[in-house]
Amino acid sequence: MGTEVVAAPPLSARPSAWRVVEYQLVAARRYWRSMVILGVITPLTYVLALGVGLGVVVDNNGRQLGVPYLVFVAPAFLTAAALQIAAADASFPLMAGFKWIRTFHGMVSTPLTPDQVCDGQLLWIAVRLIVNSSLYLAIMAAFGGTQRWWVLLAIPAATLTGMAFASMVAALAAVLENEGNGFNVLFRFVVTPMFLFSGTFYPISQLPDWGRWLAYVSPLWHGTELARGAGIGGLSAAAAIGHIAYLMVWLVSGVLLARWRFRVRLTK
Amino acid sequence: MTLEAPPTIAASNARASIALRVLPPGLYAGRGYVVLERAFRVYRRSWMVIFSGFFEPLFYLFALGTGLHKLVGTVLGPGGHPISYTAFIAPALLASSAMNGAVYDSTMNVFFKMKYAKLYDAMLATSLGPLDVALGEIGWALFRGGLYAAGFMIVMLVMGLMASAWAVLMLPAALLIACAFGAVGMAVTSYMKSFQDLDLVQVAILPMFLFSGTFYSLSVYPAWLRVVVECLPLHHGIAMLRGLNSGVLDGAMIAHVAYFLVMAAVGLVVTARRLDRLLLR
Amino acid sequence: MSAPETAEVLARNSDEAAEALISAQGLTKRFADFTAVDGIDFDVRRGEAFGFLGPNGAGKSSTMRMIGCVAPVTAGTLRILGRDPATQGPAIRARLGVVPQQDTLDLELTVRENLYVYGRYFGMSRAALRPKVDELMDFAQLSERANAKVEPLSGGMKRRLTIARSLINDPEILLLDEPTTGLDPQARHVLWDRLYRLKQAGVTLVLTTHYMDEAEQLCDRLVVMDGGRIVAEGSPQELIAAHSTREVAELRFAPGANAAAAERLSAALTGDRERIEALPDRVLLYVADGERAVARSHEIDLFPLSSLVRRSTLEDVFLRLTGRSLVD
Repeated sequence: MGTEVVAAPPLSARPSAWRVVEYQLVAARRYWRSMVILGVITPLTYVLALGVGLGVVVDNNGRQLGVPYLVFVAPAFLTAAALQIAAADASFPLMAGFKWIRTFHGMVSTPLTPDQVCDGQLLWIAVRLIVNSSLYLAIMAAFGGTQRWWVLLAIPAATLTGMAFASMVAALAAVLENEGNGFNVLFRFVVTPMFLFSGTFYPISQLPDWGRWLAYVSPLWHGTELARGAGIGGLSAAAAIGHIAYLMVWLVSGVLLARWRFRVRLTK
Repeated sequence: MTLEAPPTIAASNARASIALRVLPPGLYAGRGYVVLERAFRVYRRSWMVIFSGFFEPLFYLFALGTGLHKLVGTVLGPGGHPISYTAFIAPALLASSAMNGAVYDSTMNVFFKMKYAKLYDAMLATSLGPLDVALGEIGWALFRGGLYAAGFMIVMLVMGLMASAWAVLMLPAALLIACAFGAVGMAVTSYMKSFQDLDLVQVAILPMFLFSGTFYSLSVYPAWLRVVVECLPLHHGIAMLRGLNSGVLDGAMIAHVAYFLVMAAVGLVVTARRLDRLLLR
Repeated sequence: MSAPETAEVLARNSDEAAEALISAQGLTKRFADFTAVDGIDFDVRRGEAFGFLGPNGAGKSSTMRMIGCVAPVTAGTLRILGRDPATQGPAIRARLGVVPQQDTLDLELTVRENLYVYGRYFGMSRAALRPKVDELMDFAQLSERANAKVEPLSGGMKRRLTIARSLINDPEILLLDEPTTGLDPQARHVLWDRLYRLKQAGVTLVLTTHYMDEAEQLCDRLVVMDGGRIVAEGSPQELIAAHSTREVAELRFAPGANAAAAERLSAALTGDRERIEALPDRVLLYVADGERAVARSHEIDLFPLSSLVRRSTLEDVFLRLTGRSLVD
């Protein structure tokens, strides 16, 4: 133990949610390797196998979509990947913060408030989504999955989609007390079907009525429409505003819900 | 206090002695079924976990079968007969889900039990040997895989996706696939140090799932890539089940079965030896 | 199972006639570049309670794992129930009960199922297990929690369940690695009571501990380990007689004055093996007659703020043999 007197931090230096992001960055040093590998391998696999490979079959069968299949599916894969990463990061890792490693309990014993812990976790997920989506876009572009500069807007579209869902999952993470079986059900019965039935692989007009209505509810379909609109056009301003508004409703209510559940869990 | 010799020991000697000739002593007590019995007790209470796993391949079948068939058009099944896209992907999804289930069970679950729950330490403090543990765990994974496969096959039957009576053999074939992947998965898990390593399993499984010809025939690939994919185990699983489902059987079937038998044997031996090194040291 | 099992079962009676249930000569355990156990010799006799004492890292747990046949012996010989753990591990383990340092209870099962399934691991029949499980839940005072999950149980309950579980196969030898570490005093006393009863019933107990009161309570004979070696061996009384004095006088002087006082007091020591130890807060006099030592202190005009005379304990022996500095 040193005898050196450490100056107290100035009171003006109010802690903010960014401190939490900083913590996550430090913690991420332990698992950056798998983050990077997964962040590259996953897009490469989807783009090559289901974009390029399946594209050969689809494009040989007459161009019913008007564009090469890869150009059609790639923005949707990008959005779906954002949603999956968001769901994964907001579920078990957050539960660990409450239950197993109890990092969040440590954080609120500093001047950080539960709201800031919540915001910080969500911000961190947003940072990851932006990085991942950019990487995804680069890989898409490398294999001919992009046609115009507007496609860059797929990054914010995917991030918004991911965050709209992540905030809800974060609220759930703060509620669940058991070993997280609820998440298993969430992934199997919500995340996977959403990926398959939200018009990722084909326009939802191919689906029967009930399938279309499922897609309208799913935030992923709205995100996919935005990203695909950015990539190949054909999206009216009114439709774009509608999709954004729907996702914003999810996001705002999700954040409010998550903050509330964080407060309840961390001040108990 | 005295202990009567457990009655099963003598009976299991005959079985054990075969394994003993190839494995170091103490690896096997001929009682892997008690490990299986434990799994049944555990999952009797959390049947939801089991139940939910049944749906994943069905979602893929419905979503991609209904949605993609118009975009893809007619496809050629084994033997060059045109078949519906749904009938094309259904046996492949069965093979893939056999792989996925077995890999999940043998990596995630086993890693957790080994490193965190210390379950295997407790088992090996008894008169069980590492091979009992490995066989019991693989047996459980097979049972679960068998349930899923049977469920999926019933759906295929109802949807009229089975073209031949040979399709019944998809059940044992799916179990063989699961067995091989489960054994290798456990062997790989025994080398893992942290949860981070588990992510690397995904890196191996996802490309295999998407590239092995589940969604289209390998003819779209350049020749070199086709050769690479044809070496992957899932390709053999898909080809085997597709052949059985269509009733198109040829010499390649024997090669597929042999491939998985070798894979299972290697995985099992490595696992037993590694468990011995890891837990009995 | 190894080798011709039936022959071994028949041979068991002659094994049991042997004096030592466990015997080790030059027993050594080495990991890559670290020697955990460095050539130790000991014998454990039927029906006794035998203890391994030592600070953390002394090699106790490694020794226990070798006896439990879950860690191969690097060098030396080890015979348990007359058999070699290298070739007959499962056969030996069938007759051992093991209480590991950290509970390895099955968190996915209930209390009752933990006992039942563990018995199945030993190949016991369902019919034989049913009454046995009830009896053990009663023994561990857990009958009321029979169908509860294990995770929410208290530390003491989990420990009792672990001990009950280790008895499922009616073991001849019970291995306990730090059985009461982390428990509150009530829970410890309940456990000691259970272990005492087992000993009365003829079970041979082998335990490690770093609690001296536990060793004095439970052990007929013990060895003190330090740095992988055995540094002393005997009954608690023998060890105290051999390595300490009959009494200890603890004199507390003003802060800073203890070292100087010890210097002057050293002249007061006379008897055999008597010694003095100056700690920052007090002076310890290891002497035959504590009251006389205090009186001597007064005679040379040293008046401690407080004084206490007590009998020597195993703890004094332990600290004398393994030192006061932290090991890890």
